[in-house]
Amino acid sequence: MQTLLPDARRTEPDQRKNSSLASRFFWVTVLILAVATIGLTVVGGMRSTELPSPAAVEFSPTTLERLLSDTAIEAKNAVEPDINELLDAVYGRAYAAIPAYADFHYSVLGEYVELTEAVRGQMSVGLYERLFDGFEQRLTEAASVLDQRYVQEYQSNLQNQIAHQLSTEGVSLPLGDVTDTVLKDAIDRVQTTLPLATASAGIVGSGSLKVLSATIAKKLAAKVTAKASAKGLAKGGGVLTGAGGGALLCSWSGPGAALCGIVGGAAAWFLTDAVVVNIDEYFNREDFEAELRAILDEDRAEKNELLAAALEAKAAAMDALVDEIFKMRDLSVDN
Amino acid sequence: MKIIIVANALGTSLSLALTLYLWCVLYPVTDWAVLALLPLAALIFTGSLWTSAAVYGVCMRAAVRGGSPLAWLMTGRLRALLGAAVFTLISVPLLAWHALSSTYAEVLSLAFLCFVAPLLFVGTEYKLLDHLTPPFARATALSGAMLFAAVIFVPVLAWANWNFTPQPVAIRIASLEEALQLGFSQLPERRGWVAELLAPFYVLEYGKLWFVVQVDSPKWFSMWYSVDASLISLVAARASAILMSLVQVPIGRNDVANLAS
Repeated sequence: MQTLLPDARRTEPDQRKNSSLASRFFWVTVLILAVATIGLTVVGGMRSTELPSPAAVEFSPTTLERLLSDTAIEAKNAVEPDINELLDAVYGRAYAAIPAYADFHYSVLGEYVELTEAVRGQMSVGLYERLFDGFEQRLTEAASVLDQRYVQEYQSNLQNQIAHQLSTEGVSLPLGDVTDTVLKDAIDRVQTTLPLATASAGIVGSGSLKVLSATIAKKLAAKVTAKASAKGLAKGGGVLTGAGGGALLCSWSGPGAALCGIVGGAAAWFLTDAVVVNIDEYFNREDFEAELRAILDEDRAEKNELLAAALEAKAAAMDALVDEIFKMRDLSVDN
Repeated sequence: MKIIIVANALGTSLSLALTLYLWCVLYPVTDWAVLALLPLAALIFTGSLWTSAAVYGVCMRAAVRGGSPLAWLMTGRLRALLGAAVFTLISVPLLAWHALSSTYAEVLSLAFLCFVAPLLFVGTEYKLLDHLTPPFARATALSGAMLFAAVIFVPVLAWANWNFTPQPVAIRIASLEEALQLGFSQLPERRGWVAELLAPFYVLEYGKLWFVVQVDSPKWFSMWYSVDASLISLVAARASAILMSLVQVPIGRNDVANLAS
């Protein structure tokens, strides 16, 4: 360490000697680097002359621009019809859950559960769990599948466009470096440009599903509470009759008649509920299910538009990326 | 003597340029390209160490009492070692990453800076030797050369970056995650441990670019990114001045007079 590190106590000739040593090492290093660089360049040059490089075709910038633009739009047009099919899978379970939910809604237990949830302001939570369980995950998966289909369509479309262009020009040579780089770059970028999973995450994150549940829950809550009020009037006489009848039946038991009265009253209460619910179901079930389906249809149409817009945005972005670069000064012009 | 100084400055510029050129050529092929950076790292470390050790040694000799049993320990060498190691570990990877991601115009500008900075170093040291002892004149000249080079080259490089350096248009519509993916896509496909070390530079760079592009700000704000990108000139200037300090003996007015006589 002592010989390597300078010391202020050392004399100037020693320092000059160290500096001379360092200078030699420095220039030897520069020489070695120069030789290595020249050697690499010569070897590279010799290899390129040994193998005759095959002629390659380079597309003009306008041709490349047209190819990439057409590919982006055609891929979108090919994939757009798949949105319906994918949303069928997403909404299928929700539609299938309607009859089961109707069964629940038109049951005495269901009625009381909904009434309790309405009073506590949690009806939308219960509705969400019964109708839309797993919906968000299905929607995200559908967006991801749509994105993958777009990527595959874009890539295969691009290959077809290139083959068509080469046959139009009457050449069967490999693509030149510049063209190959641009096309490979486009194929790489289609994976990362505006992925549709981001759009679906936006839909999920915006809470639109919870808003939908809340909308349905609000309508249901109004119906359930109105029904409960109406039943209350009808139950009055029935419960008294039931309590009286129960007490009469058990009058032989003395004090037990009171208990029988309570049981009788409760039985009359629930019997009235069951009758009302069944009547309600007979007259209104179809309309109820139709209303739920209509709400789902409306929501599905909205999601269809959102996904179509996201696909359009992705295609537009891939089209726009044909003009591949910008400079920082362009930002200040646009701003 | 002027010819020797210019030749040394040219050698300094060449040592940086050739090292980084070899690195750029070999890295896409193999991670062993790191070996090309080792001589440069060794030279920068040694130059930085010598300059720092001389200064800290003088300071510690003035500070430590005579006869102190700790005099053998408190020589300033450890501090010089740490300082040299830190600068080498920061500057070499930074220069290596910048060499991979720069345009030809930027590389040529930096090569010219690496020629000018050593000359500024020698000139500054020459003036300072009239006022400071050699170790301090050298250390101050290193900082001075870095600052003078920055004053000249930072505006030039920032202007060049703002007007001519191409940026991927995808960044204008990308989310932050997509922008970082664009950064990662600049690394060679084979990845490797060197790519893992370089990845943070790309992430930071594309993160900054995304921020500048996405923020709805006054027109001049985009200049901030270009100024930030040009700050590499500080590192390059200091590194080349350090290399020059290895080969250049301190020459003051008295030395020139002696040589002339």
